[in-house]
Amino acid sequence: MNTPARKTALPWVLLASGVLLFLLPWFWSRHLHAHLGRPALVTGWWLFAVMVFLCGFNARKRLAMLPLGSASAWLAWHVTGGFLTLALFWLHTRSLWPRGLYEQALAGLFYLLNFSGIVGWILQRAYPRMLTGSGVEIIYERIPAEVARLRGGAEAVVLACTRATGSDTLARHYLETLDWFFRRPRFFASHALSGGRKARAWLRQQCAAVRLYLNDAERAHLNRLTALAERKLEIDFHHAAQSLMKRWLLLHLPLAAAVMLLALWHVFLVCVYAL
Amino acid sequence: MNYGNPPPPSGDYERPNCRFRCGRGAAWGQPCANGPSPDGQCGGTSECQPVKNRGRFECHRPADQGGPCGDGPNKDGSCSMRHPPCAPRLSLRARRGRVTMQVCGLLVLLLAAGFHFGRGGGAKPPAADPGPLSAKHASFTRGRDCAACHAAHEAGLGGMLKAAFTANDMSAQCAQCHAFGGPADQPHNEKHFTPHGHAQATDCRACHTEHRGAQGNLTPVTDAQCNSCHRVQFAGLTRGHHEFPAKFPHFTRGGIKFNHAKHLLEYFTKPDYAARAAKSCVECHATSPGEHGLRTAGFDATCARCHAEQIPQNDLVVLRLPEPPAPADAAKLGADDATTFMAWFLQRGGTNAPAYGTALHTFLNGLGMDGTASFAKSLDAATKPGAGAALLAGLNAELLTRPAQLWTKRQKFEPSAAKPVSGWYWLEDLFPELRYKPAGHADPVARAWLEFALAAGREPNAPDAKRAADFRDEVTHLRASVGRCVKCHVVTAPPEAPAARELAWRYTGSELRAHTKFSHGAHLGLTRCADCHALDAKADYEGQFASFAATAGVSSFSGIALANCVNCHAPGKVRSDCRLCHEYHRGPALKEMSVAR
Repeated sequence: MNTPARKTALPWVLLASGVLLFLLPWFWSRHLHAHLGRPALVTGWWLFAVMVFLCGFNARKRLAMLPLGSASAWLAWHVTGGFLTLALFWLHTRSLWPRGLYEQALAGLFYLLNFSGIVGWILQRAYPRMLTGSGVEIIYERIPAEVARLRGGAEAVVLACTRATGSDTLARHYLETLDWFFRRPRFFASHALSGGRKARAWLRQQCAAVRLYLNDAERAHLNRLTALAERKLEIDFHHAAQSLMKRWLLLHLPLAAAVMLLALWHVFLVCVYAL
Repeated sequence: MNYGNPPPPSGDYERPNCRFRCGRGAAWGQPCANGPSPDGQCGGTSECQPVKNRGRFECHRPADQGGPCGDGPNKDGSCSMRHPPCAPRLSLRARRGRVTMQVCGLLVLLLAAGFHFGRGGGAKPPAADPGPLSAKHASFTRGRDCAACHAAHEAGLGGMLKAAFTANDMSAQCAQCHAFGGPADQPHNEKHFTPHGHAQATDCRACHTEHRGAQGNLTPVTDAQCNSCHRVQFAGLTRGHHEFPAKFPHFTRGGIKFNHAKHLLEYFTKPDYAARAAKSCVECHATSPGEHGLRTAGFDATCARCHAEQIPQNDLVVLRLPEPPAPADAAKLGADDATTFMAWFLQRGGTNAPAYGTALHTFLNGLGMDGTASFAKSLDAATKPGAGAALLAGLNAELLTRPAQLWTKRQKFEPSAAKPVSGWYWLEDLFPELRYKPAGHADPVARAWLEFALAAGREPNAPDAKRAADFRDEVTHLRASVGRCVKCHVVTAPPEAPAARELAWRYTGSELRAHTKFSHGAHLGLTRCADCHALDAKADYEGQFASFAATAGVSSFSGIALANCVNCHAPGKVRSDCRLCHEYHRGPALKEMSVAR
């Protein structure tokens, strides 16, 4: 169980472990360097071992039935290991950018992988809190059904308004503006980057624009339509946030596989040409 | 119409472990209740799966989909509410796996292509390119590229797999082109390291790193790395480096005798010589900014100003004709009036040699008949073929024939009174003497006779060793030697043969210890010569030549102290790292085959 004490101590444990796991090869490589040894071998294998450990996180998620520790703990170690690999990479290569073509490819992919990992970590830290604060809970795979349901509801309100009042003002306005809005999740960038501010402003504007031309009976239908649209906004925000939280792995995992493949190739070349 | 919370879940196909999701949902329509099959077929073509109950088919559409329909199932039991199939889409997870496999496959193809198509013909495959070589190695390995140093490069896949699990002796590859004055795999290329205790075999890659680009540093060795092997360790030239030896760098006595102190402090100050004296050190010792050592200008440019006229003053006396004895007394003739050369040359063979008088008679008889030919032949027999020609170069046969014939006929030979400027001539002293006057410095005949004389006394146990030594000592006498060569050229007895003598013809200069280097050119104009080379007027320079043994040298300069160097070579000033003054390798050179490539 994650007691408060454990939760407070964990970052420090991770930090200390990361620093220790860096300092050990650092001192070892310094000693070897001073004694005309081959520090690149030590730092290289150490880096490779940490990378293999990082790949173990994916395996842990697939082997959920085995008692291998909580996924949150693995994530914490995964993030620590990710930063550690960056430091170990620089310790191993002793430069920011290597010279050889395939080594540059490996370094480029490695930097991209780290960058995607950092971005993903930021996403995983920032969005869940915002999603909880939205007041709506919905599973990502059920968003299409909810969007369809809201669209059906909105169309029903508009039809009911036309039947009840005999006026098609609201219907025409719906066809020209809100129909596009209810068709699928909209304002992805606005929800992803600024919490949907632009989307809310757009909705307010559309509703305010038509309200002037409606009578009281029509306004009641407009209010119901607006409530559905505001719910749609929340769903759109969930779609944007959860999409990002899921889709960044489309970049991170293939990059990780590519980096591991190139790392194995690097090990093979070193064994053939240099050892 | 429920506009509040979403409806309860209708199925489990929305779980992310399912490979496919409903195509209608993907198009933002209402997804079906069943979802796609595991193989990606649409599962929403009908709204329900009718169930037969008491002989009748009943609609079992879920309540969240609207409950049982009004039309009910068809008579054959199929659902009446049918829809066209959707196009199921891969789930996000499945797409992720597919993209990962595609990326890996593409990468494998690129690596294989980049490795295969880039090999052969001396090319460098992009998929194995670790970076450009240094400019030196790049030019020497052009045409073979990777295979020049990496033997496994041209092996097939099997060979490379084997190389991956076999230790690769890269140092042996380096040694194909690089030669040293000692074993390549020992520290400092020294054979014996016992004074420093245990020393491990070395690997070139411990200090040399390639593939750092054309301008890359091949040897990024730090002082700390040098210190790692040495028992006596120190932080830098100004922090712990031991003082230079007292006589540094004048450890040996050199090949040319030149007392700097005497010349600079005494001779050059005399009015007779002041005008001819060198005004600065560089008149005799030239260098340039790009050179390490000093070039000492030759005799003609330096010493000749004062010493050239002295060389012809000393002649070489080869033959002396005594009074011709009566034929009956020829055998009784002694070698008392003979030159040391004749006394030795005509009595070689010890007790087996004929009497001196008989040998002289035979010798002069031969001269009278053949002139220089028989003399040269005899000299060749005493040393080596061709030596006679060098020793008698310029000697006219008539100069030998007529005097020899007169002597054998017991007639008086009267040499000409005229003395030549140089070359062979007869001089009447007490007896007629065949002499050689050197033409000047580096006279080849004088040199040949000096070497001949030195070689004569090489065997201390030979029967004629005493006479040979007398001949040698006369020719190499400090004051009486031909051309006065020995005045400046040092005669040394080698340690392995103390009775022998060797003459140094060339200036060798102070020899730095192995692995130490100094560039005079780099210091040109920055310091004065006297800042490091201070004259020591009290040094017993001449005394070191009293013995022929190659004793430790005595210089007319004081030893150079560490303090001379650290004035400039200190932290914050000029470089003071180990490699500035110390060369790790002993005698590094390139093998001819590497240049020929």
